Amino acid sequence: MKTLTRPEEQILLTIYHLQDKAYLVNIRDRLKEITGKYLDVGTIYVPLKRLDHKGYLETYYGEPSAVRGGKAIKFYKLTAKGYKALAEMKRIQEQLWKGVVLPSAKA
Amino acid sequence: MQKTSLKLPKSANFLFSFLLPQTDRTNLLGDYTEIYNRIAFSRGKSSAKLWLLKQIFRSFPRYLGDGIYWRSVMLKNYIRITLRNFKRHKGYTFINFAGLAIGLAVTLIITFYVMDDLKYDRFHKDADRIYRILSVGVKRGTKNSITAGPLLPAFKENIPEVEFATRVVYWGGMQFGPPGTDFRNVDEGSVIRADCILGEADFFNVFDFKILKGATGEALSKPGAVFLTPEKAEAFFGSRDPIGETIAVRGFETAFVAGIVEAPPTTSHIRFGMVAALIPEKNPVWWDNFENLTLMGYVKLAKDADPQVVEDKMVKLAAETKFPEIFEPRIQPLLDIHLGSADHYYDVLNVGKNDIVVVYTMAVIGILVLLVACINFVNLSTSRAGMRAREVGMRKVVGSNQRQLISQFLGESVLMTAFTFVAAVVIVQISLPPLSTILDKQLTLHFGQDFFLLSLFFLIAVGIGILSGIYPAFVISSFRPVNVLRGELQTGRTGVTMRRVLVVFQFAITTALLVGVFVVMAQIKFLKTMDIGYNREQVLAVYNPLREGEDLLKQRLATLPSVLSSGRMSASPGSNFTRQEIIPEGFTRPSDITASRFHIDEDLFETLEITILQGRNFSREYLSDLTDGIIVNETLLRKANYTVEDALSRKIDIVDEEGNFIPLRIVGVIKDFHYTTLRQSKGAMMFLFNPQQSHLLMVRIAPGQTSQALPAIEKAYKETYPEGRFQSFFLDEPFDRQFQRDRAFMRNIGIFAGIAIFIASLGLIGLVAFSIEQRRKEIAIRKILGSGEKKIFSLLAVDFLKWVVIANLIAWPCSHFAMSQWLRGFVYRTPFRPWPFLIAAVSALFFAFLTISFQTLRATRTNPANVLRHEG
Repeated sequence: MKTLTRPEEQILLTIYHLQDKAYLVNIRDRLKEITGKYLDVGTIYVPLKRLDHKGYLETYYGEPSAVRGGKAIKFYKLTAKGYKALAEMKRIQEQLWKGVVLPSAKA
Repeated sequence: MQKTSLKLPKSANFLFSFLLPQTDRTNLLGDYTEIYNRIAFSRGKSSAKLWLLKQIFRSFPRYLGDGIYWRSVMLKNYIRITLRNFKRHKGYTFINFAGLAIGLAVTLIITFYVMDDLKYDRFHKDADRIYRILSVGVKRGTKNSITAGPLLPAFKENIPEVEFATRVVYWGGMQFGPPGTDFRNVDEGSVIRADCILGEADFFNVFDFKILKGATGEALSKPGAVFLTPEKAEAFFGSRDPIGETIAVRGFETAFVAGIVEAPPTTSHIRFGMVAALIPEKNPVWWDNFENLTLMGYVKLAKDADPQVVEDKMVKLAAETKFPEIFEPRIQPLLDIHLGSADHYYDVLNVGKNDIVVVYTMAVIGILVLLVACINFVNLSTSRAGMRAREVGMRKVVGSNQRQLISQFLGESVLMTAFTFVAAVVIVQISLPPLSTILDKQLTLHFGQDFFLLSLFFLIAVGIGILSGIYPAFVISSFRPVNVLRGELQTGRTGVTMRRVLVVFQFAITTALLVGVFVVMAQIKFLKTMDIGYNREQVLAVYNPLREGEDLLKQRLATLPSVLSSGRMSASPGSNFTRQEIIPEGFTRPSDITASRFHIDEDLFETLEITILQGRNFSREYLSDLTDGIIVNETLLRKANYTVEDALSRKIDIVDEEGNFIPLRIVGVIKDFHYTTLRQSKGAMMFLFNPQQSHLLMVRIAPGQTSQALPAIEKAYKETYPEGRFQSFFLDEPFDRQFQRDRAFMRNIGIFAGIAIFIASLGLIGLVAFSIEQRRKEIAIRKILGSGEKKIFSLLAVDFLKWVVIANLIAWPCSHFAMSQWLRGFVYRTPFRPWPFLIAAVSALFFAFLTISFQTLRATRTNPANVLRHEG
């Protein structure tokens, strides 16, 4: 399995957390909450599309709404393959971070 | 959340419609609108707009990169499908591929050929400022590439625009060797032969021949200064430093190596292995005399000089000197010399000159071959595409849209042509070395140097790809899948008319080329078998450097059984010789009549079998023949307005080298014979009885005894001149040599016409195969209903041959026109006969028939059951 890029990993994790409310605007908002800054729409869209194409995500459409100019929402959901990819990332991350003691920020 | 919901501004919507990927455009627009609304609600509409603007700018590269990424994924898919398609139709792919690749290669080679001719002399830095001085006849405008020596320093001195001027003499293949060499009797091993040019101090200022080592170009003002090319210097000195070394050069009192000069490139009309100092005082009669036109002159003009003004000044200046009044000095641009001197006389330096007509013809042939190859490719591609209607239908059913199909078809043919381009370059690379010898031209392909040309051809190839892809792309992709899959559409029937027109066109071109080949052949044969006025077969010309004892040699030769007769002459027909002004009785100077002068003995006319029309031959019995006898040819009489009958005893004055008049009396008139190229009409000739100056001995050998005669003649020569070196040639050799260029021309168009026919035949194979494929069922049913193989064969064959016949009808008038233009370059031309046309037609039909019959026979031989079984 190919390893994910950083943005792909972050987006995949965000989708995991958002459960059935994962779509572009929400993903962007949540990433802002964590990292503190908004990403461009395109910056999120491109990895999303690639994750979809690689089979980590499946999509379904929601209802159109006025606030979206009458356009439907495209929701994203993790597939089994997506979960597997996350598990693999988690294993790698834990291995990498194991026993790491960083000098505290205050020191 | 919000009370009102805003729509995106129209401009943003418009921009996004380009920017956003098609698949997700809707929901992305939704996402943008949602965020836009949110910002507008919390921070106002203007900051929302600002955000949107920022988004558009910042997202642009992301979306663009994304698009490229996805397109490359699709490209892989297309290439895979294209390759699969190629594999499935191997034969068709090969025919199509080979035809275009060969066509492109041929056109590339022809382009190199033409470019080589156009590149001549362009390597000189100031090529556009360099001119050659011509002497143009005032009355008839005959152009001579020679001028009078003193004019050049006069031009330089008196015309401020003339920056540099140099006289140039072509000195021929000169031997040089170690000091003290006796060139009269030397063995070839110890001397080096080099083509020698004599030039003055300005030679290297006018021309850009690089001096690699040694003195500057001004050294050419020192007597005996010689510049050698590295090759010649190395051949003689090896690794020794040659600068300043004394050498012996034939015909020079002293000589030393002043420097090493880079050998002229193959695209220089001036070629040399050695440049030596021209010292006019050494040879005042020929090099420093206004009345003798013997050498070449070149000038370089100042940067902003108007050549017309300069020319006028030259004419005026020349009129004030003793320069012959029948001529005017004219200037010819350097860049015009190689291709624009076809009709020049005395153009000895310009040996490699080509005719602009030949270059144009080659260019036209190149374009025609490319056209044939293109037509072929387009034809085959479109006919094949018709067969793929079913595939298209299927693709549409599965969800392909027209745009995707168009790009698929276009992509396929562009890919194919890109491959053919690569193949063509490989073909050119492989075939250039052998072709250089055949075409008699040094052609090479440098990827760096010819990058522009190669890119141009690549673009042409891709253009052909697009052209051949457009038709199937747009027509076939617009099929309605239901009709196609139901089988209602006559697949491949579309565009039949266009394909037929193209095939007719293709065959017309090849037939026209063939006619061209045959006409050139006929013309060469015509010239070679033309009555040239003397018998050049079986005549051996022997050089006689030593004059004493020549009568002895003639007597010795007369005793040989294999020798019929021998006669002496000052220059052999077919080479260059002296031309000078004559003043026939009733004319005053200037008479504007020039004639070529020969010195002969009494046996020459008999030996060459030249007919005496009136009067008599020279004879030793008339002592006065030696001092005032002259024999002239018919042309000279015509120029002097004499008739053959009243010519005898007429007086003719000639002017000798010192300017004195020598009165002569006509004793005989001979029939005209051709002594130079047959492209020009016969010139005026006069013969003086002067055996002592006739150093060329013509020996007529008895028929069929050449092998015995040669050693016997050489033996007689050695007996007479034990010290001398025997040198001889057959008289028909220089005569044949003048057809070299015409023969090369014929061979070249022959080769390319052959290739064009090959390509056209390939195209026909493809079309016939395809068309038979279409009619397989028809053939099968005909057979079942009792039609014989012969009948079906003729049904199919006639259908195709009809078009070839039409092509011939188109080709004939075109090639007739083109070839009569070409023949105009000859004074003596073969009449148009029907056979070149008929042979061309027959061979075109033959090739077409050959290709058709193979395919057709196979179709008629198939068991109808096998065909019809597939029904349903």
